[in-house]
Amino acid sequence: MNCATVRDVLPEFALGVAPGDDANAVELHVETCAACRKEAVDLQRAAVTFGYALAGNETPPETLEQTVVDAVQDVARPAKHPHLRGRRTGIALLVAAVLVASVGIGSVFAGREERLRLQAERTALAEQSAVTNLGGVVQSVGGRNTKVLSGVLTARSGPGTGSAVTILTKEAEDQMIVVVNGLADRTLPLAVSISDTKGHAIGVGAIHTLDTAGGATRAWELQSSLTGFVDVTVRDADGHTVLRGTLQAQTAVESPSP
Amino acid sequence: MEGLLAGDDAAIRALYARFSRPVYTMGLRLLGSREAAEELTQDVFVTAWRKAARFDPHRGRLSTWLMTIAHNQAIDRLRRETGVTRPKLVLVDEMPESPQSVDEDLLLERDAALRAIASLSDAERRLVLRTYFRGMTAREISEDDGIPLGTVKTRLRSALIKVRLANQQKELS
Repeated sequence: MNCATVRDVLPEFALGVAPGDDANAVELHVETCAACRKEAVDLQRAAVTFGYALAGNETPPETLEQTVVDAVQDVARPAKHPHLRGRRTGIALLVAAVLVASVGIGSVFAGREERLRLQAERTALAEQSAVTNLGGVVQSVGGRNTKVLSGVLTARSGPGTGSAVTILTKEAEDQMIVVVNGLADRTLPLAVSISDTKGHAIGVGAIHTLDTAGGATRAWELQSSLTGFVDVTVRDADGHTVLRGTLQAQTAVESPSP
Repeated sequence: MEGLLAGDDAAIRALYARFSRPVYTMGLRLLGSREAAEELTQDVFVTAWRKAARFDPHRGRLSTWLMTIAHNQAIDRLRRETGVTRPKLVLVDEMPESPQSVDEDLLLERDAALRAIASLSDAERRLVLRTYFRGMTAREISEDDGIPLGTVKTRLRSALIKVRLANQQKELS
């Protein structure tokens, strides 16, 4: 989405009625575009004014305050799912390690377009092989109801390679890990999004810095469920698609009942 | 916000004291029942905790951020629960209230809301009511009223810009 398209959607976005995929695209765009972000904030502030126009000074029931405090503390308490958090961190680290290894294969060719083209098929196969190892990784450290999807991200043109993984659990927020390499000549920040088969997109996050090989590893914990979201896109600051790929389920860990 | 992130009791209660009334009122007026308003209030504060790390005071005010969360959640629910009878909306300029019953911050916000509503034409006002309070998209309004989508979007933008100007004038004065 470019600035003109975003500006067209902003009034509806500010009023909370932009269609889901438009709203997600706007959120993604304003993360990296200061001018559109300012416009969005100004219009949102105007829209919020209407929220105070509702008649009535309704006092919530006295018991609601304690209910709210308990609810927030319940989700804020880190010890609530200590095993789950530890296990998920373990999964994330191992997955990242596997992905870095897989992308490392591609990075050998980064900057050598001609050779990369010739070796593209072999590289993709090698990456896919590394990614499929995730099944074993998750099997060894995963828990009940943990589902991992992964896939290779390929460049539409020019150098660059990557991999992505989503970790879905019922007990906590979903996670996404993206590893890229060979993108040193791209305009930063890179925006990562993921969409479902109906085209609804979620703005996952931005990559603001790359290492000297044009690589980065990023992990995000997402408020939205990633169930059904499989198509990953990485765009540069000019809005050009840099990498794209589709995730596939590696292993669904459903521990049998004892 | 750091207190909220840490689940600090006093921080949560301070945020609740400041925003529970407008959030609860929005839930009651848009969703139509006390149960729904209570659920909305609880969901809004839990969501605020989840998103607190992303709140940037340089990008916008806390009140805008929290009321946007409240409004988006209420509209999501409105749009999910189609066919449910909703109460008639009554705005502050249609039902004068006793100032003694309203705290000072809320009075200031309501004053801004009154100015904002007064700055709109009847057509803009009806349009805003249907989008902000009923969750109708520009396309739905365009199809209902038989007017071009572009016209609806232009009017929405115009209405918001008028409100923004009214807010700016209030701040300058």
